[in-house]
Amino acid sequence: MGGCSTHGPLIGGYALGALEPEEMEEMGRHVAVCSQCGPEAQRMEGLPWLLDRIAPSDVPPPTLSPKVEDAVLDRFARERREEGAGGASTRRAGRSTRRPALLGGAGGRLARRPLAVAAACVVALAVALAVILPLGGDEGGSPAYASVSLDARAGGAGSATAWLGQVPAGTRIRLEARGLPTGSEYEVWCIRTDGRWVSGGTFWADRNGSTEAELTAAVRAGSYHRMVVTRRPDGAGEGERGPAVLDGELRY
Amino acid sequence: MAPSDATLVERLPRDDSGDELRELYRRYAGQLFGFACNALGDRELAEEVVQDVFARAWRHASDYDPSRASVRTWLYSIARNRVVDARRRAAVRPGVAASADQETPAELDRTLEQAVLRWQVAAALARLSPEHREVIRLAHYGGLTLREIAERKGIPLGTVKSRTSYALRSLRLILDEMEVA
Repeated sequence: MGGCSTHGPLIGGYALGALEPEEMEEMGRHVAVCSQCGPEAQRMEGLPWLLDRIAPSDVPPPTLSPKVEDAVLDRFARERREEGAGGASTRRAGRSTRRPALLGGAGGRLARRPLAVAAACVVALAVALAVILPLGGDEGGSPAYASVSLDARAGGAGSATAWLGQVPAGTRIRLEARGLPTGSEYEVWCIRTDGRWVSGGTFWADRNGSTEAELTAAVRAGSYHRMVVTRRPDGAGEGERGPAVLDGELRY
Repeated sequence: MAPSDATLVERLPRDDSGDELRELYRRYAGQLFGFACNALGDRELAEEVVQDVFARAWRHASDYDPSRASVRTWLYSIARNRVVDARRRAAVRPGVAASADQETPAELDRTLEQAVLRWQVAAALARLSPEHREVIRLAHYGGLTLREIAERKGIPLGTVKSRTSYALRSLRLILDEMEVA
């Protein structure tokens, strides 16, 4: 036990105010003069406040499902495969990516070796097909990929590209938009083949009119063929749809 | 010797095996998840935030500047932005923490700081031994004196006193490691 030999064991109870009244008074006088208990009491004095930040039911804190780690590593591996095939340069057009080791380095080597360029094209084509077509196999949830370019409606402004992947909750939409009028709330919709509009959620554009959003819509690959972005009118109620500003057909 | 956090991030752009990412994930995913859970009140959204944080981390690893912030601070700042986005998206859904629209940026920052702090204190308590946690629970949350704890648990008062002091010293050390003042 650290602290002084006479009062050291009382320091915890003193910090929590859990000693008997006469012990609290005695400790109060002691810590004022003791070179060991004084600093220790100071170190502990903030603990009750910190303990008040939580309820006992918060302990232990929530734990993360191992599935999330699998999902993170799967996503990482997929992106690395796409980058390895040169897919990133088209998939993230207009975005400032800095990957000298993966993109610049590979590009330099390929430019010097025509045969390697041809081989890389074959690999790129194979990977692109694997990305565009629904994936089978043993990956959790058998993710199906598609992409869609969204263009401005007549008289409107902006454009967007969305990449779509299957997740257990529906379809994960990664949307990158540019040139949208700022100050509005936008909503992404998947239009099902039966005509029903399914919302993927809302987003705002930044002051440059750009956004990078990840949304989820309760639709399955193949059950919808079109995506639309609408501008939510000010004060719109839930479920109320504003005018379409961007739309595009899916390429499965 | 295990690589530092900054080294892991520095290696991420060349990490084809996923080993560096996996290590970074194991060091930080739990606390980021706790933070997101506290801030959002929704496990599913919090899991999405964790995924997004690590996706952004590997995509933007080359932008990380160790002279400006620790890896922990960098990851939390990414998480904070993702939580704000998630709250905006979820604003119309019932059962999710209050809309970001209703809070000023300063209020939002306070809310998120509190969420981090809640997770850190809960995580620190979880690292104590069950005996140490028990005396803190009974004394602080139960409002019992050490004498009452000794009577209720049937253990000597001296043991309860020293156990409480050890418990608080351990808690203080763990919180110091977490950089909680």
